[in-house]
Amino acid sequence: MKEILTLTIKLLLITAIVAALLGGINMVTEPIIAENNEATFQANLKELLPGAENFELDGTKLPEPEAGVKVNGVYCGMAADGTPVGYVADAVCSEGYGGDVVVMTGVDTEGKITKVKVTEMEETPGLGAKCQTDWIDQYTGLTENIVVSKNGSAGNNPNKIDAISGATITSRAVTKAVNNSVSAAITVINDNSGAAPELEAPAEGEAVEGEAPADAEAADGEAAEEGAAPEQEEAPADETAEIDAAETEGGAE
Amino acid sequence: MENKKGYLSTFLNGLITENPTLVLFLGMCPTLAVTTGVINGIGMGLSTTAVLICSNIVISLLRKFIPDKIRIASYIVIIAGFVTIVQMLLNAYVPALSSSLGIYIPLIVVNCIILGRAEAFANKNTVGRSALDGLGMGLGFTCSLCIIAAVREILGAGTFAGIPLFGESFQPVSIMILPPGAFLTLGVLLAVINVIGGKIKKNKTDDTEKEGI
Amino acid sequence: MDNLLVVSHSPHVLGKNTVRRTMLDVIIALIPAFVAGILVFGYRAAVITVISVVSCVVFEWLWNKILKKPTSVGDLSAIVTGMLLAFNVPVTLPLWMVVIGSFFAIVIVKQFFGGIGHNFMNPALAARAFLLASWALAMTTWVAPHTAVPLWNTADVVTSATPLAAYAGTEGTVTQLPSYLDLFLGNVGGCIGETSALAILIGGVYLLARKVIRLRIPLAYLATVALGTWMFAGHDGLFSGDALYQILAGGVMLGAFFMATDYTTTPYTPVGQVIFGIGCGVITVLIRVWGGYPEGCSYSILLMNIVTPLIDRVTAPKRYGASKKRKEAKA
Repeated sequence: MKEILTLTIKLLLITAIVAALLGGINMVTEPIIAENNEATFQANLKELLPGAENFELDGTKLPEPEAGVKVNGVYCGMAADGTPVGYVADAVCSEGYGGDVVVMTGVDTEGKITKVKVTEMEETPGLGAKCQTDWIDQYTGLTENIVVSKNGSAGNNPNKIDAISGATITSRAVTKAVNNSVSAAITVINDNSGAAPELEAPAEGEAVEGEAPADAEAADGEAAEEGAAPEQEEAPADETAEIDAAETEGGAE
Repeated sequence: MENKKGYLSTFLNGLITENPTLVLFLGMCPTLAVTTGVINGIGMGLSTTAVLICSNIVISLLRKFIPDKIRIASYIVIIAGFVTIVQMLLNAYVPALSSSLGIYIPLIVVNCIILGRAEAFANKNTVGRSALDGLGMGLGFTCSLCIIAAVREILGAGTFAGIPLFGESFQPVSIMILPPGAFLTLGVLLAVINVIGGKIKKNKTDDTEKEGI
Repeated sequence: MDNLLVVSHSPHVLGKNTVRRTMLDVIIALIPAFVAGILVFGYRAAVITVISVVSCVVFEWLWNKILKKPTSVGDLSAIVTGMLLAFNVPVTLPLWMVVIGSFFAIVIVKQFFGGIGHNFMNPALAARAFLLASWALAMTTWVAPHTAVPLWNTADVVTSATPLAAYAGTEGTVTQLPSYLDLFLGNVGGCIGETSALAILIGGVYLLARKVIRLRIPLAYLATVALGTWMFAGHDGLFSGDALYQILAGGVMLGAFFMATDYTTTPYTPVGQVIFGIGCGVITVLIRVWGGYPEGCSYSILLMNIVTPLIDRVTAPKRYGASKKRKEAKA
């Protein structure tokens, strides 16, 4: 009986001291970690929308994303005087080769991508991890319904990116996240401008340019735009089929 | 003088003679998984060394205090505590390394090297020697990780610590970056070490034989 | 002391079979496929084959020399491995990759494990898998038959789909499917030695006539693939698959006659061999129909190679009366 008591007390002592130590260090590091995360996030936002100073989470109801993607939010990026510069969507696609791929997409007020950044991923170095190199610059300038092209399979479609050779799954996952982010951003743009969605052929991917007059009451970041963004109908199912049909999974023997 | 010699030999034991990866075959999982790049290998190795030294010191300090029956449970609590501390500190001060090492930091807890050395060395030796053993073993682990990672990264991605070594036309051997490459590299390295070790032993026995005669 | 008596133990009468003789037969059987490869893909196919064979022989000779073992190159098995490896790669493969593949096949798969008779996997196929994992793009650059391919710098050739990829509809540029005659003669895209079913059959018949292989494994393998693809690989629901197309296209013919019949890596019991053939067929169908690749032949043979010791143990013949004795001993 005495032995059991001794054992219990000693184990309790060890565990209590370790727990106290952990608690202490956690108290010290937790705010630093949160600050780091926030700073990185803000830095990313600014990187994706050059010219924007302040960011605000937009409350518009976002469209239902495809299976495997979750859009965490669309942030409206405003210049110092309050005019909207564009939007940044934060999405995560769980269909990466090594797990979740977190992608932030910057979209200008016309629905064209300014920059894309893969902030978190667990892809294979040398293969899927290439999505964090210059490869990602392919997305700049494109718009909704991007097609992943493997060995030229997308033909003349200008709204395409070339898959990383040997890392089709990663390329598809990133593209999926980007497509859904752009759709969400465009929904927010339409919502803010109050314009009706227009149908336009996806293959052209042209932006109907228009002035974006700065509204004097744009203190909360909303501005009226005139027919600016190329709007297309949401067709998630077609998107997936298009991406699948255009790819080969390395015809191996 | 005897003590000093003992200290040095403890340290070298962990580094070379009983190298945890290549001789004791401990810690295989992180060895195979993390060696996709030299930076990852060094980061993992040094984190493990830090945990190993701290846990060896504490367990050696408490070796008379911890009863035999609950020693494994105590060791695990102590080791897990240190690993969590290392993880929190990395997250706070070196977030880039922490995110690239990802899940393998928490997995240091079950790295057999740490529990193995706690059981085999720290609970029987003085604090000073245990610390040196931790340092030697940890550095031995780091070195073997670096060797394997260097081979894999140079052949499999054409870079060393992220610096491209070859020109544009180099086509890296992608399989080296993938798991099979880890096994292949480890296997060949072990074969080479065994051959060299065998030759060294043979030379030693030849020398002693000659002296005997 | 006129009559010298024989004091060695049996056997006293030796047959003519040696490893060298068997390997020579296999080499002869592979020559039709070699010729077909050159006719379909041009002189580069010959270059690849020669380089592969020479590399394999050199690596084996070097290995024996460095480790101070008696030279084993005379048993011609390195030549067979070299030819089979060459027949399993596309004609556009850079030549240095062929050399590295040969190194992997001979040194790592065969010699590391003890040399001929001791390898646990087919060396040529294992090297092919290694090359595919290492340089996926180069290993899947197929050209249409009779396309001129330069000796160096093959990256800019015009690619076309293999028959299986066309059937599965996975390639971006799909034309019509090749005819049965094209598939039989080999007038299609693919690896150097696998396209011409006719050439492989000629070789297979020669091997059967010389009693180097038995019909068991090829028959079991091909029958299973035919049945499985007929049932599941069709585009119009069950039982609508084009079994003949599936057998003639891709690497099953080459695999069934030349690689699934390798002595070292396949079971030695008759029942075991049939099980092996069926297993290969099942895995090939699984990969072709539901897996991500259009062709699954090489992986199926490799996987069954690994299972072979198990098959041997399960199908080993029981000693006459052994089980009865065990029962009596227990009682």
